[in-house]
Amino acid sequence: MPLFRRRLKTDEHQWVQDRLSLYLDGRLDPGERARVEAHLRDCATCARSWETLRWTVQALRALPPVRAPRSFALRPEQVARVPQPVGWLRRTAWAMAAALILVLGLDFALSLGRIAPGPAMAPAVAPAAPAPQAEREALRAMEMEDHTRSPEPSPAPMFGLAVPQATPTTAAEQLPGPEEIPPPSAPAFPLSPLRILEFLLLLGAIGLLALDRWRSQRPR
Amino acid sequence: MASSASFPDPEEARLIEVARSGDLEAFNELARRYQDRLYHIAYRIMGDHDSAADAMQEALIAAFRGIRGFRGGSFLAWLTRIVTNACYDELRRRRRRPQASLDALFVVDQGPEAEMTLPPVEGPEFYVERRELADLLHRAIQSLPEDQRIVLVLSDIEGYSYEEIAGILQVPLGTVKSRLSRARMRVRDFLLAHRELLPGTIRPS
Repeated sequence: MPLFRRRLKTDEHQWVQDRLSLYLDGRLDPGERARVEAHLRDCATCARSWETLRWTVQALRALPPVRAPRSFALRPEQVARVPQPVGWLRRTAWAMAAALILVLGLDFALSLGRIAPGPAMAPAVAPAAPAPQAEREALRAMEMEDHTRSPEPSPAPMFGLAVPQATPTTAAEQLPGPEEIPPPSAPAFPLSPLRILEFLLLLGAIGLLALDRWRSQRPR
Repeated sequence: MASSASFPDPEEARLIEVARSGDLEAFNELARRYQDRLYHIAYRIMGDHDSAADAMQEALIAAFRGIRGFRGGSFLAWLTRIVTNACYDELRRRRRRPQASLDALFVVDQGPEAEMTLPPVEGPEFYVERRELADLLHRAIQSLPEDQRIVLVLSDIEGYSYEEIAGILQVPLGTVKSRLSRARMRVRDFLLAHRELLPGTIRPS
Protein backbone atom coordinates (compact mmCIF):
# COMPACT_ATOMS: atom_id res chain seq x y z
CA MET A 1 0.00 0.00 0.00
CA PRO A 2 2.31 2.75 -1.19
CA LEU A 3 -0.24 5.47 -0.54
CA PHE A 4 -0.55 4.49 3.10
CA ARG A 5 3.19 4.33 3.55
CA ARG A 6 3.61 7.74 2.00
CA ARG A 7 1.00 9.10 4.35
CA LEU A 8 2.85 7.68 7.30
CA LYS A 9 6.07 9.24 6.11
CA THR A 10 4.45 12.66 5.78
CA ASP A 11 3.01 12.35 9.26
CA GLU A 12 6.47 11.57 10.62
CA HIS A 13 7.82 14.81 9.08
CA GLN A 14 5.03 16.75 10.70
CA TRP A 15 5.48 14.94 14.01
CA VAL A 16 9.14 15.92 14.03
CA GLN A 17 8.52 19.49 12.86
CA ASP A 18 6.03 19.98 15.68
CA ARG A 19 8.68 18.98 18.21
CA LEU A 20 11.77 20.81 16.94
CA SER A 21 11.12 23.77 19.21
CA LEU A 22 10.80 21.53 22.26
CA TYR A 23 13.84 19.55 21.11
CA LEU A 24 15.81 22.78 20.95
CA ASP A 25 14.92 23.55 24.56
CA GLY A 26 15.65 20.01 25.72
CA ARG A 27 12.01 19.51 26.67
CA LEU A 28 11.41 16.13 25.02
CA ASP A 29 11.43 12.87 26.91
CA PRO A 30 14.20 10.44 25.92
CA GLY A 31 11.98 8.35 23.65
CA GLU A 32 10.74 11.35 21.69
CA ARG A 33 14.22 12.78 21.49
CA ALA A 34 15.60 9.57 20.01
CA ARG A 35 12.80 9.52 17.46
CA VAL A 36 13.48 13.11 16.43
CA GLU A 37 17.22 12.51 16.17
CA ALA A 38 16.73 9.36 14.11
CA HIS A 39 14.51 11.25 11.71
CA LEU A 40 16.91 14.18 11.43
CA ARG A 41 19.68 11.75 10.47
CA ASP A 42 17.57 10.31 7.67
CA CYS A 43 15.69 13.32 6.37
CA ALA A 44 17.67 16.12 4.76
CA THR A 45 14.66 18.43 4.57
CA CYS A 46 13.87 18.20 8.26
CA ALA A 47 17.56 18.46 9.12
CA ARG A 48 17.75 21.77 7.24
CA SER A 49 14.60 22.93 8.93
CA TRP A 50 16.19 22.10 12.27
CA GLU A 51 19.42 23.94 11.46
CA THR A 52 17.66 27.09 10.31
CA LEU A 53 15.36 27.03 13.31
CA ARG A 54 18.29 26.70 15.68
CA TRP A 55 20.08 29.51 13.90
CA THR A 56 17.01 31.72 14.18
CA VAL A 57 16.61 31.16 17.91
CA GLN A 58 20.31 31.80 18.51
CA ALA A 59 19.97 35.05 16.58
CA LEU A 60 16.93 36.06 18.64
CA ARG A 61 18.75 35.31 21.88
CA ALA A 62 21.69 37.41 20.74
CA LEU A 63 19.61 40.49 19.95
CA PRO A 64 21.24 43.43 21.69
CA PRO A 65 19.23 44.71 24.68
CA VAL A 66 17.30 47.92 24.24
CA ARG A 67 17.61 50.25 27.18
CA ALA A 68 14.84 52.45 28.46
CA PRO A 69 15.29 55.82 26.74
CA ARG A 70 14.31 57.76 29.86
CA SER A 71 13.35 57.28 33.46
CA PHE A 72 9.87 55.93 33.99
CA ALA A 73 9.70 57.01 37.60
CA LEU A 74 6.13 58.01 38.41
CA ARG A 75 5.21 61.50 39.54
CA PRO A 76 2.70 61.93 42.35
CA GLU A 77 0.11 63.53 40.07
CA GLN A 78 0.25 60.49 37.80
CA VAL A 79 -0.94 58.20 40.54
CA ALA A 80 -3.35 60.56 42.30
CA ARG A 81 -6.62 58.74 42.76
CA VAL A 82 -9.33 60.21 40.60
CA PRO A 83 -12.88 59.28 41.48
CA GLN A 84 -13.56 56.35 39.22
CA PRO A 85 -16.58 56.65 36.97
CA VAL A 86 -19.17 54.00 37.58
CA GLY A 87 -18.50 51.32 35.01
CA TRP A 88 -21.12 49.92 32.66
CA LEU A 89 -21.04 46.64 34.55
CA ARG A 90 -22.16 48.22 37.74
CA ARG A 91 -24.71 50.40 35.96
CA THR A 92 -26.22 47.34 34.31
CA ALA A 93 -26.25 45.53 37.64
CA TRP A 94 -28.15 48.35 39.32
CA ALA A 95 -30.58 48.52 36.39
CA MET A 96 -31.22 44.81 36.83
CA ALA A 97 -31.75 45.27 40.56
CA ALA A 98 -34.26 48.06 39.87
CA ALA A 99 -36.05 45.86 37.35
CA LEU A 100 -36.10 43.09 39.93
CA ILE A 101 -37.84 45.35 42.44
CA LEU A 102 -40.42 46.34 39.81
CA VAL A 103 -41.09 42.74 38.89
CA LEU A 104 -41.33 41.76 42.54
CA GLY A 105 -43.86 44.54 43.04
CA LEU A 106 -45.84 43.35 40.05
CA ASP A 107 -45.73 39.80 41.33
CA PHE A 108 -46.92 40.92 44.74
CA ALA A 109 -49.78 42.91 43.21
CA LEU A 110 -50.79 39.91 41.14
CA SER A 111 -50.73 37.61 44.13
CA LEU A 112 -52.96 40.04 46.05
CA GLY A 113 -55.40 39.87 43.17
CA ARG A 114 -55.23 36.13 43.28
CA ILE A 115 -56.14 35.92 46.96
CA ALA A 116 -59.25 38.00 46.33
CA PRO A 117 -60.31 36.73 42.94
CA GLY A 118 -62.91 38.62 41.01
CA PRO A 119 -64.16 38.22 37.45
CA ALA A 120 -62.53 41.55 36.54
CA MET A 121 -59.10 40.24 37.47
CA ALA A 122 -59.22 37.25 35.21
CA PRO A 123 -58.39 38.78 31.82
CA ALA A 124 -55.57 40.89 33.21
CA VAL A 125 -53.83 37.92 34.77
CA ALA A 126 -54.40 35.43 32.02
CA PRO A 127 -51.44 36.31 29.73
CA ALA A 128 -48.93 35.82 32.49
CA ALA A 129 -50.13 32.36 33.25
CA PRO A 130 -49.13 29.76 30.65
CA ALA A 131 -48.06 26.91 32.87
CA PRO A 132 -45.26 24.80 31.41
CA GLN A 133 -46.22 21.44 30.07
CA ALA A 134 -44.30 19.44 32.67
CA GLU A 135 -45.94 21.33 35.45
CA ARG A 136 -49.33 20.72 33.90
CA GLU A 137 -48.59 17.01 33.85
CA ALA A 138 -47.54 17.00 37.48
CA LEU A 139 -50.62 18.90 38.49
CA ARG A 140 -52.78 16.56 36.57
CA ALA A 141 -51.25 13.66 38.47
CA MET A 142 -51.73 15.39 41.78
CA GLU A 143 -55.26 16.18 40.95
CA MET A 144 -55.98 12.60 40.11
CA GLU A 145 -54.74 11.61 43.50
CA ASP A 146 -56.68 14.29 45.26
CA HIS A 147 -59.97 13.86 43.55
CA THR A 148 -59.76 10.46 41.85
CA ARG A 149 -62.20 11.66 39.30
CA SER A 150 -62.34 11.20 35.56
CA PRO A 151 -59.10 9.98 33.93
CA GLU A 152 -59.10 13.02 31.61
CA PRO A 153 -59.77 16.07 33.72
CA SER A 154 -60.88 19.21 31.93
CA PRO A 155 -58.25 21.94 31.60
CA ALA A 156 -60.20 24.24 33.87
CA PRO A 157 -59.23 22.97 37.33
CA MET A 158 -55.81 24.44 37.85
CA PHE A 159 -54.30 26.19 40.75
CA GLY A 160 -52.91 29.61 41.47
CA LEU A 161 -51.87 31.49 38.35
CA ALA A 162 -53.55 29.12 35.99
CA VAL A 163 -57.02 29.40 37.42
CA PRO A 164 -58.03 32.53 35.54
CA GLN A 165 -57.30 30.86 32.21
CA ALA A 166 -60.99 30.34 31.81
CA THR A 167 -62.29 33.33 29.90
CA PRO A 168 -65.08 35.37 31.43
CA THR A 169 -67.67 34.07 28.97
CA THR A 170 -66.97 30.42 29.59
CA ALA A 171 -66.34 30.93 33.26
CA ALA A 172 -70.02 31.27 34.01
CA GLU A 173 -70.86 27.93 32.41
CA GLN A 174 -67.82 25.90 33.42
CA LEU A 175 -67.19 27.31 36.85
CA PRO A 176 -66.59 24.31 39.06
CA GLY A 177 -68.50 23.85 42.21
CA PRO A 178 -67.03 25.19 45.45
CA GLU A 179 -65.95 21.77 46.61
CA GLU A 180 -63.86 21.31 43.46
CA ILE A 181 -61.80 24.50 43.70
CA PRO A 182 -58.31 23.50 44.80
CA PRO A 183 -56.93 25.51 47.72
CA PRO A 184 -54.97 28.51 46.33
CA SER A 185 -51.92 27.70 48.37
CA ALA A 186 -51.52 24.16 47.09
CA PRO A 187 -47.97 24.31 45.65
CA ALA A 188 -46.18 27.15 47.41
CA PHE A 189 -43.93 28.40 44.56
CA PRO A 190 -45.21 27.69 41.09
CA LEU A 191 -42.52 28.21 38.46
CA SER A 192 -44.23 30.98 36.57
CA PRO A 193 -42.47 33.15 33.96
CA LEU A 194 -42.47 35.97 36.50
CA ARG A 195 -40.61 33.81 38.99
CA ILE A 196 -38.09 32.83 36.33
CA LEU A 197 -37.60 36.48 35.42
CA GLU A 198 -37.09 37.39 39.08
CA PHE A 199 -34.57 34.61 39.46
CA LEU A 200 -32.64 35.62 36.33
CA LEU A 201 -32.59 39.29 37.33
CA LEU A 202 -31.32 38.45 40.80
CA LEU A 203 -28.66 36.14 39.40
CA GLY A 204 -27.63 38.67 36.76
CA ALA A 205 -27.32 41.55 39.20
CA ILE A 206 -25.24 39.51 41.65
CA GLY A 207 -23.08 38.11 38.85
CA LEU A 208 -22.38 41.53 37.30
CA LEU A 209 -21.54 43.09 40.65
CA ALA A 210 -19.14 40.25 41.38
CA LEU A 211 -17.54 40.62 37.92
CA ASP A 212 -17.22 44.36 38.45
CA ARG A 213 -15.54 43.85 41.80
CA TRP A 214 -13.16 41.29 40.31
CA ARG A 215 -12.24 43.63 37.45
CA SER A 216 -11.53 46.55 39.72
CA GLN A 217 -9.25 44.48 41.93
CA ARG A 218 -7.27 42.92 39.10
CA PRO A 219 -3.92 44.68 38.54
CA ARG A 220 -4.94 45.42 34.96
CA MET B 1 19.52 36.06 31.44
CA ALA B 2 16.90 33.87 33.04
CA SER B 3 14.77 35.51 35.62
CA SER B 4 13.75 32.58 37.74
CA ALA B 5 16.50 33.56 40.12
CA SER B 6 14.25 35.59 42.34
CA PHE B 7 16.47 35.29 45.35
CA PRO B 8 14.75 36.84 48.28
CA ASP B 9 16.47 40.19 48.21
CA PRO B 10 15.96 41.78 51.65
CA GLU B 11 16.26 45.29 50.25
CA GLU B 12 13.68 44.56 47.58
CA ALA B 13 11.34 43.01 50.13
CA ARG B 14 11.67 46.12 52.27
CA LEU B 15 10.98 48.42 49.33
CA ILE B 16 7.90 46.39 48.39
CA GLU B 17 6.61 46.62 51.95
CA VAL B 18 7.08 50.39 51.98
CA ALA B 19 5.57 50.77 48.52
CA ARG B 20 2.53 48.80 49.64
CA SER B 21 1.81 51.48 52.17
CA GLY B 22 1.58 53.98 49.30
CA ASP B 23 5.16 55.28 49.24
CA LEU B 24 5.81 56.38 45.67
CA GLU B 25 9.55 56.84 46.16
CA ALA B 26 9.97 53.23 47.24
CA PHE B 27 7.99 52.08 44.24
CA ASN B 28 10.06 54.23 41.88
CA GLU B 29 13.20 52.71 43.29
CA LEU B 30 11.82 49.26 42.45
CA ALA B 31 10.78 50.41 38.98
CA ARG B 32 14.24 51.85 38.38
CA ARG B 33 15.79 48.46 39.04
CA TYR B 34 13.79 46.76 36.35
CA GLN B 35 12.85 49.46 33.91
CA ASP B 36 15.42 48.47 31.26
CA ARG B 37 14.25 44.87 31.15
CA LEU B 38 10.59 45.83 31.23
CA TYR B 39 11.11 48.42 28.55
CA HIS B 40 12.85 45.92 26.31
CA ILE B 41 9.86 43.58 26.60
CA ALA B 42 7.45 46.40 25.80
CA TYR B 43 9.57 47.57 22.88
CA ARG B 44 9.80 44.12 21.30
CA ILE B 45 6.08 43.55 21.72
CA MET B 46 4.90 46.99 20.63
CA GLY B 47 7.47 47.47 17.89
CA ASP B 48 8.23 51.16 18.36
CA HIS B 49 9.51 53.40 21.11
CA ASP B 50 6.47 55.64 21.47
CA SER B 51 4.05 52.77 21.99
CA ALA B 52 6.52 51.00 24.26
CA ALA B 53 6.83 54.11 26.44
CA ASP B 54 3.04 54.46 26.59
CA ALA B 55 2.63 50.84 27.62
CA MET B 56 5.40 51.18 30.22
CA GLN B 57 3.84 54.25 31.74
CA GLU B 58 0.41 52.66 31.97
CA ALA B 59 1.85 49.46 33.35
CA LEU B 60 3.78 51.20 36.11
CA ILE B 61 0.78 53.26 37.15
CA ALA B 62 -1.32 50.09 37.26
CA ALA B 63 1.42 48.33 39.20
CA PHE B 64 1.63 51.07 41.82
CA ARG B 65 -2.12 51.14 42.25
CA GLY B 66 -2.33 47.37 42.39
CA ILE B 67 0.75 46.63 44.47
CA ARG B 68 -1.42 45.34 47.31
CA GLY B 69 -2.35 42.54 44.93
CA PHE B 70 1.27 41.35 44.79
CA ARG B 71 1.32 38.05 46.63
CA GLY B 72 5.00 37.36 46.93
CA GLY B 73 7.16 35.41 44.50
CA SER B 74 9.19 37.18 41.86
CA PHE B 75 8.42 40.86 41.79
CA LEU B 76 9.96 41.14 38.33
CA ALA B 77 7.65 38.41 37.03
CA TRP B 78 4.70 40.24 38.54
CA LEU B 79 5.77 43.49 36.86
CA THR B 80 6.34 41.62 33.61
CA ARG B 81 2.80 40.33 33.74
CA ILE B 82 1.45 43.84 34.16
CA VAL B 83 3.61 45.13 31.31
CA THR B 84 2.44 42.39 28.96
CA ASN B 85 -1.16 43.11 29.95
CA ALA B 86 -0.62 46.79 29.21
CA CYS B 87 0.84 45.85 25.84
CA TYR B 88 -2.17 43.65 25.10
CA ASP B 89 -4.48 46.53 25.94
CA GLU B 90 -2.49 48.97 23.86
CA LEU B 91 -2.38 46.63 20.87
CA ARG B 92 -6.08 45.97 21.16
CA ARG B 93 -6.69 49.70 21.19
CA ARG B 94 -4.76 50.16 18.00
CA ARG B 95 -5.66 47.10 15.97
CA ARG B 96 -4.28 48.77 12.95
CA ARG B 97 -2.55 45.82 11.36
CA PRO B 98 -4.70 43.33 9.48
CA GLN B 99 -3.09 40.09 10.51
CA ALA B 100 -4.50 37.97 7.69
CA SER B 101 -2.40 39.57 4.96
CA LEU B 102 0.73 38.78 6.93
CA ASP B 103 -0.34 35.24 7.65
CA ALA B 104 -0.61 34.58 3.95
CA LEU B 105 3.09 35.35 3.54
CA PHE B 106 4.26 32.49 5.67
CA VAL B 107 3.37 29.09 4.50
CA VAL B 108 5.35 26.81 6.70
CA ASP B 109 8.04 24.64 5.38
CA GLN B 110 6.58 23.16 2.25
CA GLY B 111 8.75 25.18 -0.12
CA PRO B 112 11.42 23.72 -2.37
CA GLU B 113 14.45 22.40 -0.58
CA ALA B 114 16.69 25.04 -2.13
CA GLU B 115 15.04 27.65 0.06
CA MET B 116 16.18 25.99 3.24
CA THR B 117 19.77 27.04 2.90
CA LEU B 118 22.12 27.32 5.84
CA PRO B 119 23.82 30.43 7.03
CA PRO B 120 27.59 30.35 7.38
CA VAL B 121 29.26 28.70 10.31
CA GLU B 122 30.21 31.80 12.25
CA GLY B 123 26.82 31.73 13.91
CA PRO B 124 24.35 34.49 14.43
CA GLU B 125 25.93 36.03 17.50
CA PHE B 126 28.66 37.38 15.31
CA TYR B 127 26.29 39.04 12.93
CA VAL B 128 23.47 40.04 15.12
CA GLU B 129 25.31 43.20 16.04
CA ARG B 130 24.81 44.26 12.52
CA ARG B 131 21.85 46.47 12.12
CA GLU B 132 20.47 44.58 9.17
CA LEU B 133 19.93 41.33 11.00
CA ALA B 134 18.69 43.03 14.17
CA ASP B 135 16.23 45.09 12.12
CA LEU B 136 15.06 42.07 10.19
CA LEU B 137 14.55 40.10 13.39
CA HIS B 138 12.60 42.98 14.86
CA ARG B 139 10.35 43.07 11.80
CA ALA B 140 9.95 39.31 11.95
CA ILE B 141 8.81 39.56 15.58
CA GLN B 142 6.35 42.30 14.67
CA SER B 143 4.88 40.10 11.96
CA LEU B 144 3.77 37.52 14.52
CA PRO B 145 0.25 37.35 15.91
CA GLU B 146 0.16 39.01 19.34
CA ASP B 147 -0.16 35.83 21.38
CA GLN B 148 2.82 34.21 19.69
CA ARG B 149 4.86 37.42 19.76
CA ILE B 150 4.52 37.84 23.50
CA VAL B 151 5.53 34.25 24.22
CA LEU B 152 8.51 34.51 21.88
CA VAL B 153 9.69 37.76 23.47
CA LEU B 154 9.38 36.36 26.99
CA SER B 155 11.16 33.13 26.04
CA ASP B 156 13.84 33.89 23.49
CA ILE B 157 14.58 37.51 24.29
CA GLU B 158 13.94 37.66 28.03
CA GLY B 159 14.91 34.09 28.82
CA TYR B 160 11.89 33.13 30.90
CA SER B 161 11.19 29.42 31.27
CA TYR B 162 8.03 27.79 29.94
CA GLU B 163 6.67 27.52 33.45
CA GLU B 164 7.35 31.17 34.24
CA ILE B 165 5.67 32.27 31.00
CA ALA B 166 2.64 30.13 31.78
CA GLY B 167 2.46 31.88 35.16
CA ILE B 168 2.95 35.37 33.75
CA LEU B 169 0.36 34.97 30.99
CA GLN B 170 -1.95 32.71 33.03
CA VAL B 171 -2.19 30.16 30.25
CA PRO B 172 -1.57 26.39 30.31
CA LEU B 173 1.95 25.07 29.73
CA GLY B 174 0.89 23.36 26.50
CA THR B 175 -0.31 26.69 25.12
CA VAL B 176 3.09 28.24 25.81
CA LYS B 177 4.84 25.37 24.04
CA SER B 178 2.69 25.46 20.94
CA ARG B 179 2.70 29.27 20.63
CA LEU B 180 6.46 29.35 20.99
CA SER B 181 6.95 26.60 18.43
CA ARG B 182 4.76 28.36 15.87
CA ALA B 183 6.35 31.72 16.58
CA ARG B 184 9.87 30.42 16.06
CA MET B 185 8.91 28.69 12.82
CA ARG B 186 7.34 31.89 11.53
CA VAL B 187 10.34 34.03 12.42
CA ARG B 188 12.58 31.50 10.69
CA ASP B 189 10.39 31.57 7.59
CA PHE B 190 10.36 35.36 7.65
CA LEU B 191 14.16 35.43 7.69
CA LEU B 192 14.32 32.94 4.83
CA ALA B 193 11.78 34.90 2.83
CA HIS B 194 13.76 38.13 3.30
CA ARG B 195 17.28 36.79 3.25
CA GLU B 196 18.21 39.15 0.43
CA LEU B 197 18.07 41.90 3.07
CA LEU B 198 20.73 40.26 5.22
CA PRO B 199 24.35 41.34 5.03
CA GLY B 200 26.29 39.66 2.27
CA THR B 201 28.29 37.46 4.54
CA ILE B 202 25.31 35.62 5.90
CA ARG B 203 23.21 35.65 2.81
CA PRO B 204 22.95 32.12 1.50
CA SER B 205 24.71 31.74 -1.81
